[in-house]
Amino acid sequence: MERMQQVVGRARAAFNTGRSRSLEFRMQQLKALERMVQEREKEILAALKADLHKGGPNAYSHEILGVLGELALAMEKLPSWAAPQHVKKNLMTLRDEAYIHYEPLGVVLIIGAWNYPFVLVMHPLIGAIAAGNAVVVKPSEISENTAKLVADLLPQYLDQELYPVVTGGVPETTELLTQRFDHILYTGNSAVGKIVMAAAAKHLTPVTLELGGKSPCYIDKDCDLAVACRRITWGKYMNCGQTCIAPDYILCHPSIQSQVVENIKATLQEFYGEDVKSSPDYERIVNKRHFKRILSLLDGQKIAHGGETDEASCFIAPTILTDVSPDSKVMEEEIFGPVLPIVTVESVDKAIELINHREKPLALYVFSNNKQLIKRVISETSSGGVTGNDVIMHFFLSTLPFGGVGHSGMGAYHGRHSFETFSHRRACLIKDLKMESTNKIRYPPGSQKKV
Amino acid sequence: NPYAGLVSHLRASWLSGKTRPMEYRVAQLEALGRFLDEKKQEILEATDLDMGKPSFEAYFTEILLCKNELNVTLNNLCHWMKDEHVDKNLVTQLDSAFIRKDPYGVVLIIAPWNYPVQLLMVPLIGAIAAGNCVIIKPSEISKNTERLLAETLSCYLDTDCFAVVTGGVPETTQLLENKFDYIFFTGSPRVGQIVMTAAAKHLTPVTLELGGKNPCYVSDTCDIPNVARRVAWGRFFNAGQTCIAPDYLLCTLEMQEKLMPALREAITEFFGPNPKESPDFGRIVGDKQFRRIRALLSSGRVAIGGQTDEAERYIAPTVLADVLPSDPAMQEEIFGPILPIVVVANMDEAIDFINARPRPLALYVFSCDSKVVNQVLERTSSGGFCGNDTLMQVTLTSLPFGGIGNSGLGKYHGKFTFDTFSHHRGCLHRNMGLETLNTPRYPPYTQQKLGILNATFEVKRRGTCTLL
Repeated sequence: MERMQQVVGRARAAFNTGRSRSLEFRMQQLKALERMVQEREKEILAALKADLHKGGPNAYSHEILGVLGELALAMEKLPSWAAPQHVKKNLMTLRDEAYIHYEPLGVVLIIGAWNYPFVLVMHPLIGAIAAGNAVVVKPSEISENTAKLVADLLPQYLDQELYPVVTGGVPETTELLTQRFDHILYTGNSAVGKIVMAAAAKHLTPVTLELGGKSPCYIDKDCDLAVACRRITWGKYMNCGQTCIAPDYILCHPSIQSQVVENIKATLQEFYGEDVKSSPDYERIVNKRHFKRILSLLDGQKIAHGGETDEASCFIAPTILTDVSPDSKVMEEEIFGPVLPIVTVESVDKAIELINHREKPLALYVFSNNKQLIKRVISETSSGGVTGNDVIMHFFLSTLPFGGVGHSGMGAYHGRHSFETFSHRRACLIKDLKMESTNKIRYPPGSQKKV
Repeated sequence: NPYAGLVSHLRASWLSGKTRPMEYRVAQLEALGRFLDEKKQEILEATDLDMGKPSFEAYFTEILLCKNELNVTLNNLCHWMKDEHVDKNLVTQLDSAFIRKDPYGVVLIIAPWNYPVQLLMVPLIGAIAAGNCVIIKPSEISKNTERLLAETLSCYLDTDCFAVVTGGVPETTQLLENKFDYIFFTGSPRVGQIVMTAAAKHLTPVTLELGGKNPCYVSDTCDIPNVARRVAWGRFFNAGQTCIAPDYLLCTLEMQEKLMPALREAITEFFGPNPKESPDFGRIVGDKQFRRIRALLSSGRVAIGGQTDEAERYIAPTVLADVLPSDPAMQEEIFGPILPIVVVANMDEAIDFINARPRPLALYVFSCDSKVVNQVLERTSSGGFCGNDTLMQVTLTSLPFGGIGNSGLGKYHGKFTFDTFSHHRGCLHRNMGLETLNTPRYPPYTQQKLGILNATFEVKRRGTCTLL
């Protein structure tokens, strides 16, 4: 209790000095972060390798490239993002100044996840610093090498009081959550999301919850199956399926099911070679607990491809299940592993119905040559985000807000949306102390004429 | 749960897609407009019965401001509903990238008693405009308005999609056990915590419009009669029962002396020599609230007013001088027609005083010196801010209205209400062709592919930018 109180207290005292507010200071910190990523690239990649068996080019493109992009964007745009936004005035306020003043919230908490342990801490951190806040960073203890590295590196590059890193597991996080923050951004699962929001409620702290769910992927009969399946294979099996916006399950007409399987198999061959286990580009499940959890989802299922496992190395081969029942265990929770169930549906109507009877997912995918069909699926469903005719890609366009809805989360970030998430938009109206005659109509005594 | 049936009925209507077409939303909004026109008299009467709301005030806040919001919404709905196309990067140049405004589903609006029609209507307008089904829970404390809304709104709105629920704390608690897709609450911070805790169980996003003590700093360089008038107007409007009313004044001893006669003058100008007889001065909403506010009079010394009449729940427009931070009037949001003056030595002391306390919903500064106004703005934090006036910042629909910290989270008014009740869904609609362009991202991963990704994905700094 003591330690958390001290760390947060120090950050708050540092924030109260006002030094994190000037644009120069924020730019300086962002530049330092950029230097950190560039100078310590090798160590970051090594930590990712140790945590998730992620290879060099893979880790770089997934965790470093994006971070450098966000940093460059924030540094370029900061002056325009932070500038007061003048608003349209009405008759009564024509002679006044009316604008929205962007201000930091104060001390914000960022709780990272283990699956993209570097980027899921860095992206929010960039936005929080850009918005002028003090930030307490809590990386996931499950990706322990990256957590240790982040705890090591940040104090070497950033202001130590304003941006402390707190490490630890559930007890430490619980303790941390008793402290007062001005915003909490949590990335993880829905169950813990509820705990975070309940803790935040005690202090009336606004939250951004980046959760998950089962992201459906509908493949229409009218589409280039080879292309669709290559894109789906890429998104599903990257990071060994441990991606919050991975296509969780496929919905398609029974007549194309076997073609889908064949196409995915061919792509897997193309990506990982004959022996997936020896491909440097295929990751591992993060730990034994998750390994066992995913393994149990295979019970009673028709394995059309894959299914090989090795507990010692937490290896699960890219697996495809066919003729899966919507009521089976693998269709209950988010898979978060390299297992792809195919559920057949007679029509797009049935697909929409199935999707709408479940919790709103973080992402939704639909493949079709028919633009109207894609538009229809988007319009008749709800999800955090959508990519049509591909998977994952909406994540990489920072002008799109990235976040969930319903069980998949609340709030959004990336690019300018991060800056806005971590800012208070203060409404300002500055009037003249003279010009009192215009005010007379609103003062009592009331009269019909005044009305 | 007694409300489970109602919620699932609305959810079934929601799933049918009935509330989504623009024509439907426009029809419901126009019906609300007719409600405000046709039931104007009833609204003025109900709010008069509930808290002696002067009809001038009631017309202004409960009818006019609501109609403004309605018209802004109807005038812009088509535009607000459109997909918002966003700037694309190199990789997505040939794609369609846009933000889709999706309704949340079934939303809950809990309204307070002080502006019982407005604080229900304005969120409702946004919720309907955004395509949601809505359960409306007016306050049981303003019971005449509650009855009016419960009996008449159903004659104007589609009862399959919009329902009014009445009741007190037990009923609201049970209502909150159900799953909603959004909850909009206006009320006290204490109940705000309860609402957010209930929402957390279902991962329901919330907007909480709460309150606090709104400070009003008056500097030594100012036009005293105008300050007095604007402050008195803001403080005594609705007999002080306004979440954004200036709660207390901060100024120097000299300014306190100078302001007092000006405040007395303004009060007389507004309400005559005996405010109790003025049709333009309201009453306290209930006995409990009356007694609570009356107890705050033992703070500092009564310089103006101080008279009370329990039978009428009348508290005179009152100014308390030389109030100490430890006095009762400085311990809670006053929400009544009492203006305490706390003496400070200078602006810095005023700023420190403000910053030592929870962040308020509104903050006011009066000064002829714009540097003073800007200093206070820069060195403090609050939901909203108004220089040289009170209350007016919320009448401009292009400004967001909401709190920070204890005074709330989220914002609304104008387009902000529509946005509050919409899920902003990031959508990327890609090309099925041009598959070769995707090759660099696929395994097997190579340094060469990485080089290409670098070139296409990277955001480069455009030269140096000059800061400020």
